[in-house]
Amino acid sequence: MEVMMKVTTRTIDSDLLIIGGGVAGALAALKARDAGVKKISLVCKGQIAKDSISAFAAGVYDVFLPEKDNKDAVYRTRALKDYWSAGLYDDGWLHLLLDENKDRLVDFEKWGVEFERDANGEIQRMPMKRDALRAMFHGPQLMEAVAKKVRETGIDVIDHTMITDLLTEDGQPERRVIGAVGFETRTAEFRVFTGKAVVLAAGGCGFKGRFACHKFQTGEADAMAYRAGALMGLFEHDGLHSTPMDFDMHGLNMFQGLGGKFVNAQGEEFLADYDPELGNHTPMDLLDQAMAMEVRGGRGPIYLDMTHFTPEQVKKMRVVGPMFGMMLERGGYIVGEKIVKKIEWGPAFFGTVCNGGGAVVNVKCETSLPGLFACGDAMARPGCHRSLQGATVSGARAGRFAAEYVKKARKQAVNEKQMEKWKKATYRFSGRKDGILPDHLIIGVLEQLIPYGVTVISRADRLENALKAVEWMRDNELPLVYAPDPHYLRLANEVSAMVLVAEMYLKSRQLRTESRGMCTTREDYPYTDNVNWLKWTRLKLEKGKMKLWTEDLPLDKYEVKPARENYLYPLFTAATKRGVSWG
Amino acid sequence: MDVFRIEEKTEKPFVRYLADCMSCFLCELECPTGALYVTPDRERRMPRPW
Repeated sequence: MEVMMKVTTRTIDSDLLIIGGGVAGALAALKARDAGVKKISLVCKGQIAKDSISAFAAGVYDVFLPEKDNKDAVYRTRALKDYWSAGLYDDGWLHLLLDENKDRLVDFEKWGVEFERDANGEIQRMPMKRDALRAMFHGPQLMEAVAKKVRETGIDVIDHTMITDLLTEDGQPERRVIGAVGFETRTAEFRVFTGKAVVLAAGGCGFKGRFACHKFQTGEADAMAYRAGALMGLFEHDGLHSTPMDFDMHGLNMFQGLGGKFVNAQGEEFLADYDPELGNHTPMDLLDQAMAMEVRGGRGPIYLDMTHFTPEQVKKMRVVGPMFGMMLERGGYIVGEKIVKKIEWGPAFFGTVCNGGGAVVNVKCETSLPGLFACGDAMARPGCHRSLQGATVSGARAGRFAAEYVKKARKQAVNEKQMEKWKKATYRFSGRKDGILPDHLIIGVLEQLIPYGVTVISRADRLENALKAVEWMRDNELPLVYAPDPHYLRLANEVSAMVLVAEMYLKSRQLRTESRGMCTTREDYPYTDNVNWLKWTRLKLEKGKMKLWTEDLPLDKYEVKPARENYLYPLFTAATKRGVSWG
Repeated sequence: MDVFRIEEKTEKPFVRYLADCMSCFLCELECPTGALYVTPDRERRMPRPW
């Protein structure tokens, strides 16, 4: 063994450490500053405004306007519909998402975020996927404006730093969080961050999979919270999206809003059979499941047809999503201002991005560990949270309540033994001369999670096989991964987190023996079971092992409650109608 | 996705880690001299769902 990188150490002290430079982390920083926190460090694995999914939010933002929309109707839809929370919602959070979303929109306008507007100058909203009303902004300009505000406010932004683990009181698990460690991704400098509180806003885990621009979201927030002993949950929830089969592209909300049509190999629009209410506006999970059933029934491949779009519609696409306009042009799909051919389309496993597993928090964004707050995709979220809206509301709350904590808290000394332990773990990949490059495991994990039979329509035997393969990689291949330079050290630590989150996902999915919209869909348990499964899954590290269990929803406190009944998940009724077998 | 580095001799940027390019187009959009051209092709092998 030989340490191939010369490692120096730098300690950075602040009152509040924020891990993650996306919109949730930025909002947390700005609101903590408003609440009077003086020394704030905002740490980004890449660069603020460039590495988070909010930098690639495809120009659409769920906007609920209390003066125009019916809160009760929206609340009921988002609480109960299969394609929102499917009955597994958190009543407190759902109220907050609707009540505080407008304030965040006001913030964005104040900071110079540009939105598409109607003839009266009002922010224009369009029904898109799930028929939710969404405002349109100009892609990356949103995060540029937010990042500018962060810099103007004097927050210490530290780029190119990957945080790998949390520091706790006396170095013990399940204790107060007092800092974090990580490394500079270009020099491998070891970095120790100390503070009175930590906000975890480092995103979910997209596994570097089949979707545009989610390649930086690799689950280290989940991994570090889990290793520190935090209560985690909701890892079985689908993070499903869809994308072209041959390249990664976002923008589906926009395409559906403008009238994009999904057709099978026979040229037939099939989604009305699977989703009579929404048809081509169907949500991501049912879209992926329906495409999979069509392929199973011999009617693949599937295409997204936008060849009927007008030049004006193509122009709007380019304004709201300059990147996907370029992608389609370079792929030969846009010529001039016309879309000239259909795009072969397929599922994109999203992992815990947008909705799904994370650290369990209360409405103050407090995790089970004192001093540790979580927001955005780092917190456990059912489907009603929805990416940008959930990230902005939770990010602002995390900053506000972390600031209250900071005012009362005192700094504590770092436990040297724990710091050395995490340092050794972070650099273990650089201690080898040769071995397996991280790419091998990145592809290995994706080979287990991407097949539609594991993540889109699951079954016990396929979940078990995937889990065995992931556990084998964890025990036999991960110890052989090596990092010849600091860039590969980042990749190695990323894939280490990905393997752990894959295990969390597969085990949680095995636990839920039913089918439920934005949550698990299993052809061996095809019923939505509101008698036995109005439950959240939970997991934590206990005595060196991953312990999983369920927790009943506190329905006695809810104003809207799912009916206690079982029903066949509609996908399976539709598949039978279309002559596709399942079971 | 952090794929550029500076060539020591020429002091010019080059793509050091092509497999990690995620074709986000941000570098091309922000390049002050128009020196970059991004394609949507995936550089890392990607399994297919079916």
